[in-house]
Amino acid sequence: MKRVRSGLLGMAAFLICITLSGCWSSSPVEDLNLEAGIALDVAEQSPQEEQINEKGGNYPKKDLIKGTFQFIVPEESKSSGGPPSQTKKFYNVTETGDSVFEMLREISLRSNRPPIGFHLKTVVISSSLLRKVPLYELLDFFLGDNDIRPSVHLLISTGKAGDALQEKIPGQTPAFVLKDIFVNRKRNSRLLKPMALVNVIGPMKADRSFLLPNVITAEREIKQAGAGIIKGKTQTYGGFLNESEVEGLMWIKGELKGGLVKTIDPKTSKNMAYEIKSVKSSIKAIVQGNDISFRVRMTSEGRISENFSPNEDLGNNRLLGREESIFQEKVNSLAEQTVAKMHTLRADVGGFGDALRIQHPKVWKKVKDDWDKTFSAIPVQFSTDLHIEDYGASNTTAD
Amino acid sequence: MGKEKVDKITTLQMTGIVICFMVAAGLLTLPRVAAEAAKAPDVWISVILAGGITFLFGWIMVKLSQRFPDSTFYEYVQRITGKAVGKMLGMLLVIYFVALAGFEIRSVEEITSFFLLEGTPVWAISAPFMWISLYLCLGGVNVIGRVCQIIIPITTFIFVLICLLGLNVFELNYLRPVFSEGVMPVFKALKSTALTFTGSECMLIMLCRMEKPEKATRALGVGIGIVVLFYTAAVVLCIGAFSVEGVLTRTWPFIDLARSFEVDYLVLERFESLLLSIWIMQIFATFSIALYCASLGITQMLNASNAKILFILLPAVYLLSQIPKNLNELFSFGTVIGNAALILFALLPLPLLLISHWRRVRS
Repeated sequence: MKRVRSGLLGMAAFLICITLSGCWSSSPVEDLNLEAGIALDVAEQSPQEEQINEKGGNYPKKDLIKGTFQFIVPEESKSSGGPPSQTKKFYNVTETGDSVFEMLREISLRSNRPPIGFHLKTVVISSSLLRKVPLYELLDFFLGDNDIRPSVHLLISTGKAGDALQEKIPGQTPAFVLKDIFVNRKRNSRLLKPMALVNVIGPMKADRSFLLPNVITAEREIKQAGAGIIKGKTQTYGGFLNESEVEGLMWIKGELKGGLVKTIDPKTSKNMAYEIKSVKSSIKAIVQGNDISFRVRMTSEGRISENFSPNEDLGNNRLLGREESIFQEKVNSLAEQTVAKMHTLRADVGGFGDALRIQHPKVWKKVKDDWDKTFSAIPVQFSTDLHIEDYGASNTTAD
Repeated sequence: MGKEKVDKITTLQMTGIVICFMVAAGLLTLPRVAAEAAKAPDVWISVILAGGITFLFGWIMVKLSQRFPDSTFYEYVQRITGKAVGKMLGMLLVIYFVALAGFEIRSVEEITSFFLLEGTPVWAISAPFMWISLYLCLGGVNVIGRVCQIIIPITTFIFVLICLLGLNVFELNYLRPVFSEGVMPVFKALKSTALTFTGSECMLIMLCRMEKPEKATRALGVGIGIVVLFYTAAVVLCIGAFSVEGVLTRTWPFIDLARSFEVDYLVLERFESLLLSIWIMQIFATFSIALYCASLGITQMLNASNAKILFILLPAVYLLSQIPKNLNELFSFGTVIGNAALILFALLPLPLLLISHWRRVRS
C-alpha cells in the first residue's frame, strides 16, 4: 500500500503541474476573428481582390461564389466615464472561390486573427447563386463544422446577399439585426418562422420544397420581404412568394403570432384593420378514389384596431358580425392567392404534403415521388372562422 | 467479514450504478443508429421494447447471482461449470470489460477533441480521466456507488433542461403518423437499440456487494426504467428536430440537438458544453465500473492484489482504445462490443442458471 500511495502522490504532483500551467487550447477572445454573418453571392471580384490577384495572390479555383464575411471587431476596454463609442462594431471581408471552407481559410492569410465560427448568427444566400448551385452544396460546410451551430439563421436574398451585411444603423451589426428581426413576428403577419440550419436539414434530405425568408436592401436599408422557395428535387431556387402571399401562407399554416389583416368595407369603401390575437388552422386531406383534395379550416380571435368608416357603433353585435364576415372573406382570398402561386410555381410549401402523409400514408406513398407536380393540380378549399373579441378603447369608429 | 462489511452498497447506490453503467457513449449516437436500422420515425417504440427485453435478461442475471449472494460471478461460475470452463468464461468477461473501457475512453477522446477542447492532444484528455478513475477504483465498490449517486441528480437535471429547451426546435409532424411503415421497422431497430442498454451485467459482479441482495430486481427495474425515459426522450426529440432523413446525416445527433437552440432568457446561451460535461461524467462512471469489474475478475481468478492489477490494466485499456483507426472503426468496435454483450449476458446466464439449478449448486 505504501508504494501505491507514493505512486499516487507522484501522479498527483504531475497532474497538478499540468493543470496549473493553464488551459491547453485556450485563446483569448480578443485575438479571434468572430464570424457574425456570411453572405454568399454569385462570383464577381471586388476591386481589392483584383489587385491581390494582379500581385500574384491567387490560388487554383473556379470563380463561382463570392462570399462576404462579417467579423466582429473586439471591443476595446472602455475608459471609465468616456463617451460611448459610435464606431463600427464589425468589418466585412469579401473573398471569391468555389468552396466555402477554402474561402474562409483563405481569409486567414489576410488577418493575424484566426476566423472562428462559434458566434456565427446569419447566413444569407442570394437567389441567383441558388439558381446555379444547390443548397446542400453551399451548406455542407456549415452542417459539418464543429464550431458553427445548427442554430444559425438562414436567409435568402433576391438582391445581392452581400448588401444585406452592409452597415445600416451605426453601432449595430447587420448580421445580428437580420437575426433579431424575427422577434417582430408578434407584430406583423408577413414574416415567416425563422429558418435555422436545423430546420433545413429535414426537408433538404427528404427532397421537400421549403421556404427561406427573403431579405432585400434599398438605399442601405434592409427589409424582410416575402420568401424564396427552394424546390424539392433540385434544392435550387424556384421562385418567390411576395409579402401578401406569405401572409396567406401564414394563415394556412396557422403559424401567426400576431399582426393584422387589413381590408376595405365594401359598404363605405373605407379601410378597416383587424388585429390578430391568435390563429389556428387545420388541413384536412380528402381522398376519393384517385382524387385528392384539401380543406383548410382557419380560426382566429382578435380585435378591431382601426376602422375609417365614420361613426359606427361597435357596440352593435350585428355590425361586428358583418365585419367578421368581411375579414373572413379577405383571409380566404389571401390564402387562395397563395395556393394559386404555389400551383404555378409547382412547389408545396404550405404543409399540404405533410397533411396527406399523416392522414393517408398509403396514398402518400403513391404520390410522394412527384408530389410538387401532383400538388399543382390539387384543389384546395378554405373556410375561415374569425371572431372579433373587442374593439380597444374606443367603441365608435373614426370619431 | 468485518472488513468486507465496509465495502457494501445500498439499493439506491446499486440503482445509480445500473443507470450510470448503461448511459454511456450510446446516448449521443442512439437516435441515428436506431433510425438507420428502422428508416421510420417509430424507433422510440423499439427503445421502450428494448428496455423491457433488457430487464428480462437482467432479471435472469439477478436470479443467477442471487443464488450466490456472497460471491461474484468470477467465483461462482467456477462452481457451476467447473474450474477450467469457469475460468475461461471469467476471462471472456474480463476481456469484455476491458474492451468496453477502451471503447468509452476513445469515444471521450473523439468527442471532446472535436466539440470541446479543439487543439488539446488526445492523451491529455484521456490521461487525467483514466488516472482519476484508477483512484476511484482503488476505493472499492462503495466509492463508485457514491460517485454514481452524486452524478445522477446532476445528469438528470441538465438532461431534462436540455430536453425541455429542445422542444424549441421540435416538430411533431416528423414523428407522425405512428406505424406509417408498419410494425416491421420497430423490430428491425430492436437490436441496435438493445445494444445501448447493455449495462445490467454489473449485477453479476456487484450484487454480492449489496446490503440487501434480495432487492436487486427492484434496483435493476428502476434503473432501466429511468434509462428508458432518457433514451426515449433523446430519440423523440432528435427525430422531431431533424426528421428521420435528417437524423441519419448527423454523426452525434444529440449533441447537435443541444447545439440547435440558443436561449437568451437563461443565464447561459448555449447548452452543449453542459451536455458534454454531464456526458463525460457518465462515461467516467461507465469506465470506472468496467475497469473495476475487469480488475476484480483478474484479482479473484489469480488471487493477486487488486491495486497491482489495476495499474497493469490501465495501460492495456489505453492501448486497446487506440486501435480503431478512424470514426467508422470506432463505431464498429462499439457494435462488436455490443454483440459480445448480447452473447455473454443474454444467452449465457440462462443455461448457467439452469445448470446451477439442476446440479443444486448454491452458496
